[in-house]
Amino acid sequence: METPQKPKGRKKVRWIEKNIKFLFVVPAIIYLLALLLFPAVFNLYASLHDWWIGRSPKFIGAENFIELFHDNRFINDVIVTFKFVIIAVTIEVGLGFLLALAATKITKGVQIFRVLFIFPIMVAPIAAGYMWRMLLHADYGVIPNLLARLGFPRVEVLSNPKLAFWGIILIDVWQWMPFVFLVTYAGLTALPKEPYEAALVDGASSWQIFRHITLPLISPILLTVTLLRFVEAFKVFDIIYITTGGGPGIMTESLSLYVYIQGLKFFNLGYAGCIAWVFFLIVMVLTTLYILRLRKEMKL
Amino acid sequence: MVKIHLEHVTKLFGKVVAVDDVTLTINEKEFMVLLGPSGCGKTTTLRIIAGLEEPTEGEVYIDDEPVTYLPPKDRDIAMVFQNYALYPHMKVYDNIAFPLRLRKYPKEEIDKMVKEVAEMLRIEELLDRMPKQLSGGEQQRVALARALIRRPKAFLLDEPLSNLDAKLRVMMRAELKRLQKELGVTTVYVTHDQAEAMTMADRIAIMKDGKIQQVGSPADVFNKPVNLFVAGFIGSPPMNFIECTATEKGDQFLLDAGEFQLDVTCFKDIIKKNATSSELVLGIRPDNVMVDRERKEGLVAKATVYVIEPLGSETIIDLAIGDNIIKARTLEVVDLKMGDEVWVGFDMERLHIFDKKTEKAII
Repeated sequence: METPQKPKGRKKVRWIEKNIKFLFVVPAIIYLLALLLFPAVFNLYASLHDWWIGRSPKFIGAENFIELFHDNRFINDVIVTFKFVIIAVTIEVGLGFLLALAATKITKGVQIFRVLFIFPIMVAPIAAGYMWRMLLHADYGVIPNLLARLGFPRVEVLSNPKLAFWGIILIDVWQWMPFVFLVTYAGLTALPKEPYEAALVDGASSWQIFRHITLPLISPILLTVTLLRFVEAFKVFDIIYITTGGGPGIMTESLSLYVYIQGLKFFNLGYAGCIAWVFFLIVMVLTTLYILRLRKEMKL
Repeated sequence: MVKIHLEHVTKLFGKVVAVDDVTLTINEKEFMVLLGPSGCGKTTTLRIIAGLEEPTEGEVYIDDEPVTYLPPKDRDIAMVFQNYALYPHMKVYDNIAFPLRLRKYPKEEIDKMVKEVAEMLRIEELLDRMPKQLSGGEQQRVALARALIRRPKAFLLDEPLSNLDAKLRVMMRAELKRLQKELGVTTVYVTHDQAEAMTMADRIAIMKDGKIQQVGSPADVFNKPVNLFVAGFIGSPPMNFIECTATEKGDQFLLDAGEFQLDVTCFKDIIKKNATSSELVLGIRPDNVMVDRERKEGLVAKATVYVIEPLGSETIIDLAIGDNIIKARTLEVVDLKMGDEVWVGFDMERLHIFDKKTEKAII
């Protein structure tokens, strides 16, 4: 009996079937190369050179890096950025989670909260910055006027050395606390009901249920949302740029803003690249540590 | 050990009546099974005893103390849930130790008690595992261990065997019964499986549409069902029902089923006294149906063999009498085949007669 002949060209079709998957990844690879790898390598190259826009680069090795660690403005900005990240993220996660917990106890009207809370997230940070600049303006801002009627002194929050930083925190919390609320609320409502009933019968008080059931079960979500806010908060730029411009002085200047100032205001490409790299390393190390911890927690 | 008492308990979910005026006493050390089909209110009744639901009306007493509005933690009862409800983020050890930790027991004592209960339920080697690494049977044992460890006043079990395979279910049935008798804990067990109820219970409360239909020992509910529902729910295969009309023919009092007539003159007075009309339902368990090829004394109806179901130790014969199909069960070797003509009779001492309108048992 004759064995059936394999159709011609079958091998070719198979080769294409097997390898076509790589074709689909090409756009992603181009994106990665163009928008991530190229700027990173370019910045690294720039950071090793004395390079001002309009002039040709001159190799200076690690000189920019050495200078950076003696740069008081850089050290100030690192402190400001860290302070901002820690305070803003703590308030956002804490308050958002507390509100989400409270919302789970409410049986009616949570939908309204959820809709209202989506608005701040939808507003572009630039627009949010402008809006808050208006709201906080000492003369025609709604908030200082209301406070003045209650007997508080009329102050320009965003240019006051004592208040400007807290003004920035307020805006960031306004914009991002709802995000934490929405994510953790969704997480809380999706938790299984049975362990709660089991704990009630086992004799747990409300606090014990929160401590031993809710918190461990929600912690993967809480840690993830914290990580997202953490990485995002480190990059804070727009709201500071619009509201205080880093001032008064450099009291609210973040690292992102400093990179912008060095690169696009002073045209010092080499130094800006150097700050960007150090900044990137700091965020990467912290994020990696955080993710490692997260992985450990996730292993339920 | 305690007595649990429900007094006219009603529970509404919106307009739906889940539990309807239930009054029930569960005696000390008793194994009470709440039995009924899905949605009959048995689980809600259990949750009311646990304190997870508040009754809309009525009172719950534990040892004569009213506990209706007491939170679950103050009732000192333990519950095993249908899906076990283990804490997914805790190891088996911590799951079992949790009730004791809440009560701030010293560490050494907790350790000793966990190991004791783990040994009793043969789960010592599982203590380091997470719940999701366990099989259904293992999870069930852990849930039991968690319930047992604090020596509660009463056990509430909500269909704990329903997620297990048939073989394991039969095994755990016996083990649970032994455990309950050993510990002597008042137990309320919810199930829809009448075999579970019959094998384990001291008494069974059969529920339908939120109402208790009958409470009694397994033998009671099997032999003296109070209505059509109980008669049809208990027993496997279920009781045969044949609709018939009561007629008098001279001195004889007959049940006329169309295809045959059954002389029930001996029950005449009871039927006349209790029936609301002449429309009745004859009930007979498959074990009490007699079948023979020849017409002998006591065999009243002609039937055709519809199907034969051999089960090894016994055989179920489906018989067609006119439009009615009834089942007969026999332990003897059957030499019948489909389509054979036979004669059928009923054990008059085991006959049940129900009022068609009220569905209540007359005999």
